[in-house]
Amino acid sequence: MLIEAKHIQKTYKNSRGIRVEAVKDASLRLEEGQTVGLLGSSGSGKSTIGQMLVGQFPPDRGEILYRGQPLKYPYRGAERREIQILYQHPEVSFNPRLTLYSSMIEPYRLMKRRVDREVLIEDIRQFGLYAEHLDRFPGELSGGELQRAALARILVMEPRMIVLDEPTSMLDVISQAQVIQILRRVQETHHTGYLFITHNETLCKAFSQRVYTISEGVVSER
Amino acid sequence: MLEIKDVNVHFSSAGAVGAVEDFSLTLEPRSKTVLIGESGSGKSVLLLSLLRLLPATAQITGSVLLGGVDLFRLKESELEKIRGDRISYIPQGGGNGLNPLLKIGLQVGEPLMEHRGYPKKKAVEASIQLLRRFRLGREETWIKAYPHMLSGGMRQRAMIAMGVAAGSRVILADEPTKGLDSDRIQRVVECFRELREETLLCVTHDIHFAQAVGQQIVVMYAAQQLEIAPNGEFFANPLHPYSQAILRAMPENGLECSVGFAPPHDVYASRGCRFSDRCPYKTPRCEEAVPPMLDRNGHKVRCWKYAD
Amino acid sequence: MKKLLRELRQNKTCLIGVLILLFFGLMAVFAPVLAPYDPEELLGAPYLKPSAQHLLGTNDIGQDIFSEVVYGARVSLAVGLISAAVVTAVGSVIGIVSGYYKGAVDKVFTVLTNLAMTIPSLPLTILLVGFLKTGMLGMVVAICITSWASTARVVRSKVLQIRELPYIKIEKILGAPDILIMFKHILPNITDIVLTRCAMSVGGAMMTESSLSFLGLGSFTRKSWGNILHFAFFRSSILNNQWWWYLPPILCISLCMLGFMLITYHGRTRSQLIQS
Repeated sequence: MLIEAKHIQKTYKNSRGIRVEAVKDASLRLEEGQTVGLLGSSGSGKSTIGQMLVGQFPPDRGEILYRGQPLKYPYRGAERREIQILYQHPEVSFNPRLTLYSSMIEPYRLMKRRVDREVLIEDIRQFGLYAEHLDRFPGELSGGELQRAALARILVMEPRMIVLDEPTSMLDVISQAQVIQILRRVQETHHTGYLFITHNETLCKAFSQRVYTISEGVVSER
Repeated sequence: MLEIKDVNVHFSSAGAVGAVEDFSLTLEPRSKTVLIGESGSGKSVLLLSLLRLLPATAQITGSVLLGGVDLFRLKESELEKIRGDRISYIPQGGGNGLNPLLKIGLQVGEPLMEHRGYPKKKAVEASIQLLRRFRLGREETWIKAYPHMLSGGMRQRAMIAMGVAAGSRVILADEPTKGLDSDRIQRVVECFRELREETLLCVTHDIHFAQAVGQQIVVMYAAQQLEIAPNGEFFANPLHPYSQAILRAMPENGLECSVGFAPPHDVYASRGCRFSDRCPYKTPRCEEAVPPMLDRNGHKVRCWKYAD
Repeated sequence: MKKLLRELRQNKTCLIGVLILLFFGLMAVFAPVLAPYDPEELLGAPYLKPSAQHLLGTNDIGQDIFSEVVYGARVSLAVGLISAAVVTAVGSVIGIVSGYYKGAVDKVFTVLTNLAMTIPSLPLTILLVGFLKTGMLGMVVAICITSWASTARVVRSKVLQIRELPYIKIEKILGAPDILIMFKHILPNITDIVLTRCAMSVGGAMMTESSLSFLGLGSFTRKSWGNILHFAFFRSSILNNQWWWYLPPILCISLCMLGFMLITYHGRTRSQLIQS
């Protein structure tokens, strides 16, 4: 078992100061090399679950086990590196003031891996990105290009598990298929586990092996 | 009837991205046309250019005939009378098109006050009927609400109601389903189907929405139209390799990637077909000249494959 | 650089501000060339009216007022710029740290900021200057202690927005150190605000310097505009209708303030553009 959430619950205050129980009761499991769908409409609490798994904030109740050990917030060391997330909006997933090159080399530095332009060009080719893209700012790249770059960036950390928070809902169908194709290929070679959060039932079924549904903060398995 | 003839849009400031080249399209009365294309293909710019809503840096040529009158030749003051009255524009992103400080009822009824001379009270009352037509539910309550109190899908439906309020015959809509989830998209689809008297031109990147709403499908890529076909014909027998790739990439068709990644260089600078770098059927001819728009029994396509 | 020049040409308001500041900047740098006399030199006749020899006449001890005004730009601008730089640096760092960490750190800084903002600044500055002895350094320190708070507050509120953006969250999840996130990813995205605040602080600091000098708490060894005003006022120049004595320093202070106000419009219009 890669990751397991046991009866996690989360309440937060919204902008008007009203307490909202975003996640009431969520239990889910994910094995290595597996894609598990989390299907729900907007406001169902699906993104909040993703945020908790990735260590943005801890659940109020319940616990999250990673390789059998309870995760403590904030995540440190291997678990910080091994659990990553891909967000819905690629255009705000990059610092707008940095060129793609500056953004891309950062995870290499964090991993203390040697990196230069040549290494980077070689690594990003399989994501459909080229040397010309490296000197551009995020505003000069398409949504599909940015989302593939965002994926390339987190993969440098050699994650064991990635939370995919609606990664293709802002993309056109061809870009969507390309991102999914890359995700599948990565999973085959690295045996990465995916939690695929989406509102799109057809897409969820086409991409996931198992599907959880979430409605009003309660998760159930199909 | 709305007739768009050879519309060209270029921006003096930015590069070629977002431009429109030689766009021609006929919208029959009470027809629904959906324009699909990825972001940056020029589809939204085209929509804005029709009502001359683009910034001053845009150079627009061509003509747009509405009942024999060329909108591009009208004075700004004359065009103002047409906007919201005979042609309505529903901007992208649902809520952003609504004034956050005005109650829903007043906003939906506003075109009636402006173009039909309704007093405020009567316009707000009429907005209840309008919202009911698009099944907002509890309309009497919602007209007193401010935009932020509605969900994204409800705001989008309110925008549609506002668009048809003054009895506009032509509705232009930009990405009406962007950012909405499946259930809400379905509701918006129903709203658009509800428009029986109006002529619709809708821009989207959502292929399911296009299939559900459009009677005529237009595909745009890098400022050019690639294919124009009736709905059934398009989805059963797409001609352009790009259209074929779009349909194959749909989740229900297996998310297949049949074309390459977009090239990093500027495709606008190439002499040939702008899609040729990604096209699996590329021949030498494709790189030499832009293919003409070919008409095959009402199914138009811009591809050298069908030239002979 | 070219882009900046083009933007300036389009933004007339900002251009006027830049020209004003350029004028005073050159005046300060080339003071020895521009001033006909040494401002400290006693030339003999006091209270002379403006003439070809003494453009703005002489003061109570016979120093050339025009030379005083020209040299005064040096002290006024130096105090203004140095204080503003320190104020902006301190305010921004406090704002970023408090906005980024939230929680207990933020609470402590917020209390400090509110405290600093509620204490009337001029009396406190006067007190501090008295305590720190007169002189330029004491003045700069006093100005910094009393005016970092508003910058910190504005920066903090902007950082609170930015820290919720996906690219910042992604950095945290990648395990990037906090220092890197704050200064590589947050700071460059608030430079508009920081620079605007900085320009406003220069104006504020120059005003404070003038006020202090006017009250006689400034540096007596070096001439500043406030210092000229101090002597003009206490030698009853207004009653004697010696406008050439009190008016030029007032005009210089006001114009400089205006210049720094106008260049902030550059930042404002740009951030408005980004928002729309």
